Amino acid sequence: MAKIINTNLDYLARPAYNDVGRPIHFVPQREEHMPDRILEIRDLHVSVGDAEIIRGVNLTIDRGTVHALMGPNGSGKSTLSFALMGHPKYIITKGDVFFEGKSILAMAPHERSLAGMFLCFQYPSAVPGVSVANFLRNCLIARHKNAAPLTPKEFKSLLDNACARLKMDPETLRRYVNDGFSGGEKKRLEMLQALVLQPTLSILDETDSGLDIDALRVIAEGIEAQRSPDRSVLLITHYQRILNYVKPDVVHVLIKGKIVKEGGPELAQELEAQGYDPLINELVEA
Amino acid sequence: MTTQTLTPFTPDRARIEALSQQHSSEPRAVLEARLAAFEKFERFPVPGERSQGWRRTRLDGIDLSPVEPERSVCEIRLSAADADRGIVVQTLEAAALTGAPALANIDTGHSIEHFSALAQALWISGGAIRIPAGAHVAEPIVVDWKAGTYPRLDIYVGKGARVAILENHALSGRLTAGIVDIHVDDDASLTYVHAQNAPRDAVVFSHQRARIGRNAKLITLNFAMGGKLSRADVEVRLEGRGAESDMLGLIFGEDDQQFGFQTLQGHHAPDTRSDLLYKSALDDRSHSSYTGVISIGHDAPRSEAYQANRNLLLSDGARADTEPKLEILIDDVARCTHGATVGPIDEEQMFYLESRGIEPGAATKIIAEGFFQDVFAKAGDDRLVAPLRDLVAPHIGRLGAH
Repeated sequence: MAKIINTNLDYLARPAYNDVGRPIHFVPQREEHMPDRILEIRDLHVSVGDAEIIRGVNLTIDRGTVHALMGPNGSGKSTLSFALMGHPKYIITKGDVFFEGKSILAMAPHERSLAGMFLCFQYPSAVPGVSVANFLRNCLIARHKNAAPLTPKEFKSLLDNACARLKMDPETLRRYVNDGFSGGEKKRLEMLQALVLQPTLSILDETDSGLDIDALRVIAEGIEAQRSPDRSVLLITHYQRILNYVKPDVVHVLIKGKIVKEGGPELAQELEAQGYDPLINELVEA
Repeated sequence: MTTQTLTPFTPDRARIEALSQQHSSEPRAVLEARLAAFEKFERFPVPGERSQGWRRTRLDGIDLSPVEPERSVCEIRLSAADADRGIVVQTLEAAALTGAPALANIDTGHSIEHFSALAQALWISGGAIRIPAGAHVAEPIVVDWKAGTYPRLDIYVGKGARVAILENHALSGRLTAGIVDIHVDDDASLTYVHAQNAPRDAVVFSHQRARIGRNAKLITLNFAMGGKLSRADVEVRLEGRGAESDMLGLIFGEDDQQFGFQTLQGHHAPDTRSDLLYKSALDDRSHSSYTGVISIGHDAPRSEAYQANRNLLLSDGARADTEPKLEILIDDVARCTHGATVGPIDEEQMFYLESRGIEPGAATKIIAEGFFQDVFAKAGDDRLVAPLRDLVAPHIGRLGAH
């Protein structure tokens, strides 16, 4: 039985801003004996069809940290995120992945989600006929099977507040999931889901691509809103741009299916200045 | 097991004349229409598995021979609030006396012409609804068929009137063939739902013919989840400038059920618009065959026509056939598109829901529910579709269990 993550949704049910207009920050109760290491990827190899895309990745994420995974197109960033979430097309041929100390390789995608993992899709699917509100209600029901359900009023207040945080039109809640959404609207909806579901680990697959500067800022605020001592973020991106708004604790560079460099926030700036070419050249020379 | 007709019923002219006399003073023109329809019936062959539009329909064990006509009885319910709006509700034979022009029409449709002709020769009674010009009917009018083999309904919506009508067809009996005539006069609007939920051993045919006047709008929703074999021809003629037609269809199939729809979007006036969405969700070994005709005549410049047929296969044994047919006789068409899909639930869609913690069985249900809701919402009147949603709900609840 998968562990039910943080059932405390009160922080979103309360107004997001207090009466003097300052945001109210959520500081969840820290449970005892929670492992400090959220994610540990060990020598991971992933194939799609006959092609090996991820070729021996090692990466660890500690609780309460924000990691950026950067890399040029085709380096395997999206493959890694799909493999972590358990997409059936992405076959793990070697290595292991531990989430809060337990291997997740035998877990189905929904079990990984219930355990506290969340993938923010680059190209989320449309679900015609299913409203955003109904979809989220089903996601919460899946999480709180044994808990008292939220009252309709609590649920509405939860969603309205989450919308307010992301500067989303509450009318979005009535639209069908991603059906006819613009690129920016899709990204916002992914962030909305992350806010409502409160995952322990959010994996954001190029959530920043294709966004104008205002939308980028809103998404960055959404990511910051997830920052807490208990939760971690793996931000996958091609560009340094979003890192002007979200400060990562650790930056990893993925090229041709391998982590080639790791460092602090300064590494992202270095990449912004020089691009990926010097790192690619180093790889070729080696 | 095959069904055997022990005393086969064979209609003839004498029988039709006798039947016409049963109706008190049926107008001569109505009898003539019956006899002309009967001639057509004799000319049209019984459809077989190779007939056009019947592709891959299995007919073994299905008896398509005519049934002895029985008097059709329907209950037509109006709200008290609408009772004083001058709405006329009567039996079809009563309507025939004061003039029901549709009764002189002997068009027989396409895929079910044999049965349409039979019904138009042999109908005994039925219902007629006449909405006077300018009346805005507040509550949906509900038609429930109680008995009959050839149920026939005549709907006339007068100029500028607005109304919603739900017709429930759940008649038992080996075979029923119904006729629905709809005339939406200029500037009027009608939302019409035909809900077919017959017992699982019944063969059900329905021929629906609609005419739409100038700047008038007709929304039709054909909902089908009953019967062993059911087929409908749904024909809409846009006859007045600016006429609009939204045509919706929803099929839910289980076991060995077979469904067929043939639709006609007939544009016969300038600036007309038709938008069709037919969807089927097919479980077990059920089958659906769809033929969609868009016809834009010389007399219909600047018309817009859209057609989409979506088939969701919920099990490996389910099948769907779909065939669009375009008959466009004019260059000056504003827009005409058609598209069809047949396939199981999209893998990426499933993964998306699963990645949110929803287990695969529940994800299937949510996606199927959405598949239906998409069409229900387009009907634009929840009072009409709420009962249909209730009919489907328990079946969706069983999905994902296998």
